[in-house]
Amino acid sequence: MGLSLNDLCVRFATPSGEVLAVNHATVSFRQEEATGIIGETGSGKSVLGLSILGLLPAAAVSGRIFLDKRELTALGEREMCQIRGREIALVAQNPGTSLNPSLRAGRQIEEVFRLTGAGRREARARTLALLERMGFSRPEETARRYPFELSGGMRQRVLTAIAAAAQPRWIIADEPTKGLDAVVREQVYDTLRLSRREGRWGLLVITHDLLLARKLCDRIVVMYCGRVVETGPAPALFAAPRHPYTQGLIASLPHLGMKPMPGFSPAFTDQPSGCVFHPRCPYAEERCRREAPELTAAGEGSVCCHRCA
Amino acid sequence: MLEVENLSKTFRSGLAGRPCRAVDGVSLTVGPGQTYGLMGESGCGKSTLGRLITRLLPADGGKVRFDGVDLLTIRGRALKPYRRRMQILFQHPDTALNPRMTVLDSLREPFLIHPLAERGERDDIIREHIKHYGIQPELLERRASQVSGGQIQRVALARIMLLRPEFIVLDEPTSMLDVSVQAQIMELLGAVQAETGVSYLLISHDLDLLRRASGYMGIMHRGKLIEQGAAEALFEDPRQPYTQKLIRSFDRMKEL
Repeated sequence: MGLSLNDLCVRFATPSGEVLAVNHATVSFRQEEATGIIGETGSGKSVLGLSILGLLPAAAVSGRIFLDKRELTALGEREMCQIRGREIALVAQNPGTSLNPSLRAGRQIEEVFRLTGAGRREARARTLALLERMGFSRPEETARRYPFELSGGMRQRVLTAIAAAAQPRWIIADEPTKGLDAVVREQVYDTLRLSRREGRWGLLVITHDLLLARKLCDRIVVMYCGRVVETGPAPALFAAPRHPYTQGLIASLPHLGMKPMPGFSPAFTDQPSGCVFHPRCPYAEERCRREAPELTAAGEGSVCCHRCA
Repeated sequence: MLEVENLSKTFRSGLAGRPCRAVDGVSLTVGPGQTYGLMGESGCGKSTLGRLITRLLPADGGKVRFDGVDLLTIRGRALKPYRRRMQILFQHPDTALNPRMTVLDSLREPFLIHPLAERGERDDIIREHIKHYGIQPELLERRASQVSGGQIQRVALARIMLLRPEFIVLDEPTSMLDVSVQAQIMELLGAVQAETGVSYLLISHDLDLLRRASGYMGIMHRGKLIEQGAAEALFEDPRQPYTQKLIRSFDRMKEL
């Protein structure tokens, strides 16, 4: 049971040529786990999430995506509509703009129950019960509010409630803590943790918030320049990162020394030869400049580096 | 160097809107070559404070003494030299530079306002100057939309440093950037300070970042500066319940 990507590529045409936003990603996620996809801006992690939901132009995507035995990449738009929201739900990136500003919060959650066939009264009752389970102490009051009357953390919780309402099998949360301050970020963490108790769905958290990923997730997938460079169980990956990029990322956290990595992520239109990380890697050798490493199984995870092969 | 005394600002919004005391009697001092870290959650008034100090917003009351002179009493042309000496680095890289200008044009702007160098030598000064900020020369011909967020913050800082300011408000300079880029920018800010002796008011909501980067710290809550002191002391022995709560919430995210 799970969600798996097989040699997934996402191509975009840009004025300066075609770019591979996701570059031959092969990875699978288990439904009983929370997986964190971490990486920096432009590493392809959000595009990966959108491609699972079939929200990108079909021509841009190659490779195959499986939900258990079903191949999502072979489904038509009509069938994908049955999957989205019901089986795989998205908690979109920006709670400020993802809610409808002219509808009360409760109404936006009720809509989901109505779509799954509940009557008005039942939808209302289930909405209030769900809000209460999502940590709102006065659900009636929250349901009456418009999004602008709610704080950032509360909006995020409403958005998560909308995703959770249909009892999907998967929830994809895209950058749930982007731009939030510490107190709200902690609330978001609690919400997502709570949501996992709420249902048995698999959780994919796409984030550049390393601490959130470490605390919330069982497994971590690290992306760099559209490639999966390392996967592994969260505690092991953070305690002993194997890929030099993961090592650099963790060392740049403020409380762990804030040690900067040399150089910059390369432009998608101007990728280095061999291993894409070699210009910034402290261990780069001749072979790294010539030959791109493959993602190879190592321990309980996998890593894409010549040194670890 | 910079002394802020009892600074206040009230915003009135809408027709029947309640007045909002965004900055409420704040006093603080930033010494030469020092970094004062200002922490607070979204909406606590920390950015407004930065704008009041640099006179981008008019204050309702209080004093901002810079080098012994009360800036809030200076009007018109007399303010211009102080504008050069006090600068602000903004949070959002996507709005920091004029999107219609090339990076080079943006870097030429300080020369158009302040008498810094003769026309003929400006571009040479810029080309030499950017080397210290990790900006590649080919970047100069690009527009803001073709430059990454981290690089824009470097350009914005380089532009500020062309003016040789003595004090810079850093308004969440890295909150929109990735951790590895954040580490690079913070290292650059540290190097610039070591070389020029510039003082910073570093505004952030990241306690760990402030702990590493600042000697002195203040915590803002609902417009008031509720606690301040040496950064380490403040972490070791926070007095205010709100500060204790903040530190706990950071520690909780770092635990496993």
